[in-house]
Amino acid sequence: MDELNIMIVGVGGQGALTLANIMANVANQMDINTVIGEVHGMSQRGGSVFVHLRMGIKVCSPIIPLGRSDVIVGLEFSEPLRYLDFLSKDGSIIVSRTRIIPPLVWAGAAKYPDESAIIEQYKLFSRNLYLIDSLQIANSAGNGLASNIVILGFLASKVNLPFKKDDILHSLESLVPAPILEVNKKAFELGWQEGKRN
Amino acid sequence: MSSDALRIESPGKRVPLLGNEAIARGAIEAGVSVVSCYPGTPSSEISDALASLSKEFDFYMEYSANEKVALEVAAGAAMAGGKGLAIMKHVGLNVASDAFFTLAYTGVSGSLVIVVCDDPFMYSSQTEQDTRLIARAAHVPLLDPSDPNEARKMIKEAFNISERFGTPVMLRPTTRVCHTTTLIEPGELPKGRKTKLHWDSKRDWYQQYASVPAISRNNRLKLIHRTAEIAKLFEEIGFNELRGQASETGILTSGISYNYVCEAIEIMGLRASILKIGTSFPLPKRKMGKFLETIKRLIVVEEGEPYLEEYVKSIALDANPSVKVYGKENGFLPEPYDYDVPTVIKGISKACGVKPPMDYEDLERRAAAAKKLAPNRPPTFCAGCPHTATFYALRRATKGKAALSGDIGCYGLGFLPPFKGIDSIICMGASLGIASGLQYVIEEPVVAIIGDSTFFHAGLSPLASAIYNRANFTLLILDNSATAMTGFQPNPSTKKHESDDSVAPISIEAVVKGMGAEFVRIVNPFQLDATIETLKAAISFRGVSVVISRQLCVFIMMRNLKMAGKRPESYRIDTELCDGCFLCTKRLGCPAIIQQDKAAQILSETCVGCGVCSQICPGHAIVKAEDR
Repeated sequence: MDELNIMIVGVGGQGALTLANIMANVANQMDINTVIGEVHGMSQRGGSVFVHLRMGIKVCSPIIPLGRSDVIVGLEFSEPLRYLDFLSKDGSIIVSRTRIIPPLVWAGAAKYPDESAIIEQYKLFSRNLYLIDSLQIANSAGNGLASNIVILGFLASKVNLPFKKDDILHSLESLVPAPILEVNKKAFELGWQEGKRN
Repeated sequence: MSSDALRIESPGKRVPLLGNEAIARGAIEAGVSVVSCYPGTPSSEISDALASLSKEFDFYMEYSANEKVALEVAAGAAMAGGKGLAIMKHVGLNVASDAFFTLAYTGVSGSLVIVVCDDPFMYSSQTEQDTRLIARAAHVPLLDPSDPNEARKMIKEAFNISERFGTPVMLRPTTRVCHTTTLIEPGELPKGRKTKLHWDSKRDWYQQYASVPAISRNNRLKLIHRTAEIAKLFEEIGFNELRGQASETGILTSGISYNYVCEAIEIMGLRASILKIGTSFPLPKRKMGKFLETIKRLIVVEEGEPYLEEYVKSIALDANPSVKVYGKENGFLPEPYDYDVPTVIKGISKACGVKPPMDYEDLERRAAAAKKLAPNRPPTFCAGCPHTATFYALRRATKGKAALSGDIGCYGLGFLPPFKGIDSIICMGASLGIASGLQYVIEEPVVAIIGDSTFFHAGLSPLASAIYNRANFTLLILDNSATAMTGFQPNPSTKKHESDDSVAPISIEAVVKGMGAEFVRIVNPFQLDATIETLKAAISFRGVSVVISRQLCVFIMMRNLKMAGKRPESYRIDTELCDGCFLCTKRLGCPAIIQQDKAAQILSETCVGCGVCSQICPGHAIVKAEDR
């Protein structure tokens, strides 16, 4: 594989890095060159976060060049707005309907945009826009915190990844702590099915 | 990624490691004997990884009170023949620089490596300073890794160079090297235990280490000679590599930018020869000169200051005066911030007079509307963070009329609405000195705001100075018993570990009383009224008054609860009593409270039950979730 770029964006604490690590773990076992570019420190406390996951032999820099991300995964509804210039011409946006309103909105120092305005922008950049009720699906799997894994399942069914569904499930088994493994596997499966229906 | 990958025995096998973990691994492979640090993004994971491995690999590891102490600790070990490693972020080197400049003169008997992580774009820093310039000013060799694997190799080589030439050596990874995870090939781990060294009391140590003028004059000459010898080594060392293809177009680059250059010319389909510099000080000037002889135009791609650019222009005067140099100084590449592939493509395209493969300006223009629409989302205080309560109380106590001199830590976020509780943040410990200066010239009360770790880092001397000089301000110490921003490393006000009672935390109140502060009060910020009254009394006190707002960091509190198998008692809003005044959301900015149409709502899974909101609700509508 030459190059596959996935950008995962969200709010600190939503598990963006976990998603990247699960996929990189699979790729590493298959000896596919992987690079993850992360942010640490300040931005983690409820701020906007992004993770760049890059796979393939042509990849050397940890940051996806503008216009070259095959997918933008949004763990929060509005977060991809900041990064649309990263998306390639045929790229997909997979975004959760989960909204996290910044507390600044209540203090009158920020505004959370309307759904229609957000979707309009997404459509300007992508013909392949997928919205997913990840929180609701994760709750039905047994834990709302597994929202990111629902999205991983959805992503795996929609995007041509260099590995199979079962490989990701194996990776989940090695990375997710035992007490929450079953919930996460179920969340992954439900996300996968949602992707197949969509 | 995990300490298992850090421990892996079998060389030749590739394992995923974060850049900072790769540096930790390299230090272990080099047989480091003493590690000291003060945490700071983007450096923190290096020492965190080493802290978890110190027993297993038989080295001593300490979190020092600040970077100057950390450097001195590592230097002490190196003076006696040990392998010392000090780790800090770029601004930490400012704190350590007094020791740093002199250690370059004295050199060391063993080896001393200083890892200084630069932070272009200031992802988590107050300045974008370029440590290469400090290396040049101090005459300390500096290695510039371009990726995690090279960083691992370079730190091992840094120990070798340090030992061979008796000089401190720096490794300068930048944020994008520190925080990149990729597959690396670890080397051999050292075998066996270390034995104690001996201090030979018959040796005239002072002739090297007692930096009085007569001895420093001698050391100055040695320093010049040593730098020249290292420059010879760096002409041959593999870290300075010629890559790409023979071409009239040359690219001079270093560090993370090398990767951007490789990817840029691949995307552009451009033929260029590349000289990648790994030894930023001293530079391989002869090698650079020979490179210049082969090209007609040179593009310099480096983050930070135009450091290579200035050097290469002076080298070109002899080597090839007709070469045209494109870089920061003539505006082909930006001077500030970190780079990425498009930035490099734009610069190279402009210099070569070709069209970029993509219209980036158009792309950025089209994306601007979406970026503008995105809600402003700075980091916030966690739900239940004691700082929320303290800043609320501070605002009530000052009625918004005071100069608020802040410091570095999570509480720095108090500058944001709704608190606007900090007017200035300069550097570690600056809150007190700035407050002293302010109170000489303004009428309004002055409050200095500092956290527990920062207080021990750089707050002690300015407090002594303020008390001794009879300053008049209030020192508000937010003691959450944590170095929270960087990942909960221990500091003198905390235990070493949650389960380790071998070292008693140093009492902040004993320290300030010992210095002669007469007004010293301790408050629990979750008791809002008492905190407000105490702050009012402190502000009206004449002299240096100290209020210690003490409450454990909510992150640790929640972790402790979880380990005990407990859940916090959350609060809820009685919608019949809530009249929708929204004081709770407007005044606290707590991520657990949201506004619905007519009433506020508490997110039960986010609320940790600090109860602060229930104290400010005028309609008493906020009650414990189980009181139904």
